[in-house]
Amino acid sequence: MSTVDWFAIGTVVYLAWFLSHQAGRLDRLHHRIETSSSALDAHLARRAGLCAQMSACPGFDLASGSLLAQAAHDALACDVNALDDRMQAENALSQAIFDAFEDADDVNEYRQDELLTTLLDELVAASKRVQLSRRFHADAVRACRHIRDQRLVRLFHLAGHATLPTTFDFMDELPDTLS
Amino acid sequence: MKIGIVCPYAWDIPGGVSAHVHDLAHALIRMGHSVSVLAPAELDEGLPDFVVSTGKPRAVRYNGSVARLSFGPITARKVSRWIEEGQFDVLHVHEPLAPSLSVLACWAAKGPIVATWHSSMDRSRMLLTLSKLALTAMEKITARIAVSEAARTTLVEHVGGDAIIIPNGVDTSAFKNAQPLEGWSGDGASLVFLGRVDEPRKGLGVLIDAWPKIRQQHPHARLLVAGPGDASSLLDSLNVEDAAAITFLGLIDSEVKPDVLASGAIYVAPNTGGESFGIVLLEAMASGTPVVASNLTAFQRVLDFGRAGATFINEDSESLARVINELLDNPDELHRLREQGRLRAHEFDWATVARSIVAVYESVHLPGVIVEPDFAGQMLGRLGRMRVTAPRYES
Repeated sequence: MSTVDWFAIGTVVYLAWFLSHQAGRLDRLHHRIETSSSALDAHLARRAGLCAQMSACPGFDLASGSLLAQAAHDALACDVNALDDRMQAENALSQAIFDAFEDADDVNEYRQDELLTTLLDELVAASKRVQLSRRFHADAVRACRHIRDQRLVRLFHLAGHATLPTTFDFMDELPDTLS
Repeated sequence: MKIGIVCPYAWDIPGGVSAHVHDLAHALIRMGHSVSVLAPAELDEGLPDFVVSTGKPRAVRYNGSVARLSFGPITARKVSRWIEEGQFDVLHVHEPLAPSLSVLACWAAKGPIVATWHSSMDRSRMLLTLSKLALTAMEKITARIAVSEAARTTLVEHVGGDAIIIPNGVDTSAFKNAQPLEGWSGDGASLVFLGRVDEPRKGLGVLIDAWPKIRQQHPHARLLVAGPGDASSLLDSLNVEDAAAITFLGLIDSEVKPDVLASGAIYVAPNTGGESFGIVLLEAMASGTPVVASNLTAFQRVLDFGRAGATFINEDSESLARVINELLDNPDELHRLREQGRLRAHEFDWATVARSIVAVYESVHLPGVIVEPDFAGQMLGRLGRMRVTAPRYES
């Protein structure tokens, strides 16, 4: 066989190896994204649940309670797959948490109540889990999109029918009074 | 939670990473978690019952010094068996790029994996270690932690992606009740230095240069130096009295370390570079000794930019002498630094640090999902060992 033939065979072998390697990476990343987005979902649901529970407590301010309850309800009622709606709802819930607990005196008042103190501590813990899992999810999504943007990967449809993963962006800061 | 921790370096040989894993494991057990640590160990006897040994490590040259690592097909099998039997909720690997147990564990497992980066490496070394196959192991990691800003920068620049920073912890309880050594009062004009005396980057030379200027203003000043090495050449420039005011303890036991730190009115850290964190500063603060340190970025962070300790211009003995003289003349400021230092050290207490790490575990843990063996990954790992690690070993 001539040099050209060997060169052609070499190219095909390399291409095959490269494609299977990238497919393996994509598979691992898709798996990781599945896990990280389920974890994020679980922590978001927990956060909204705690907000709803707090707003119904007897010692809780009625006005901020109703704002908090509405935001929590909206966040929980969203269709899991309607990402834009969900981001907006989670953003609104973060804002409601901000509004309800921005004032240090209010927070001190709530901390007089035993049940509210427990719920407040749990809400802070849940919000921090949300922050962490959102960051870890975004990290996995970035790595995955980086591979899927490669020309060969797109040309050979290595990602199959998997939907393009997206980061979940919303304000998740806690007011200073709680952090 | 059931947590499996992988330590790439020998459990029974002192070192930064193994000390971190040791303290983390104890803190997690105190919090009520179930912990199993997989690590190489020189001796099989005398290991705590939560440690699973992969046998004697081999001494290899790695990242600029000789490290005791563990690898090979038999080790890889032990790693997979440990993962299979452990049924962990979360797997936590340390220093995942070291060619040892951590990278084997990444290849052998799938599920929630957390990794902690400890050291910072320069680019050329990083590229040698990072083959494509090592990167595939990194892609399985769900959550990444860096112990310092320097370690995070290394990771972000060379591997890509993001990491959250959770600093090293200090077991403040071991330092809280420190008592000055006999003949030392812990106040007056006494200074303490800890570290290898003939390692230029530890900066004893800078302190010795400043010493005559400190003695000029404070004739009763004394200096306690603890650490191995030969300092005779450093003392040549000093007159007899100034040299006689320095006491050398040599290498000290970790048990007397708190007492040594508590023996001075000021702990001096004149390090000129190469420090990514500065745990000994926190240990001194936990013992109630105010700190004067060079203005390395890592030190400034630990000292909360001057609030918890004083800094001087790096490698400038004039500046060091001035800062120490001013402090020795100002008991109120010394008192303030002592109190602030204690509070600052408490922020880095293992109980606090372990809580932040558990928050990461909880953010990646899914009920019903455990860490499982990944057989495809193990095949890849077998290939990977040839490619990633073989050219780098000199035993």
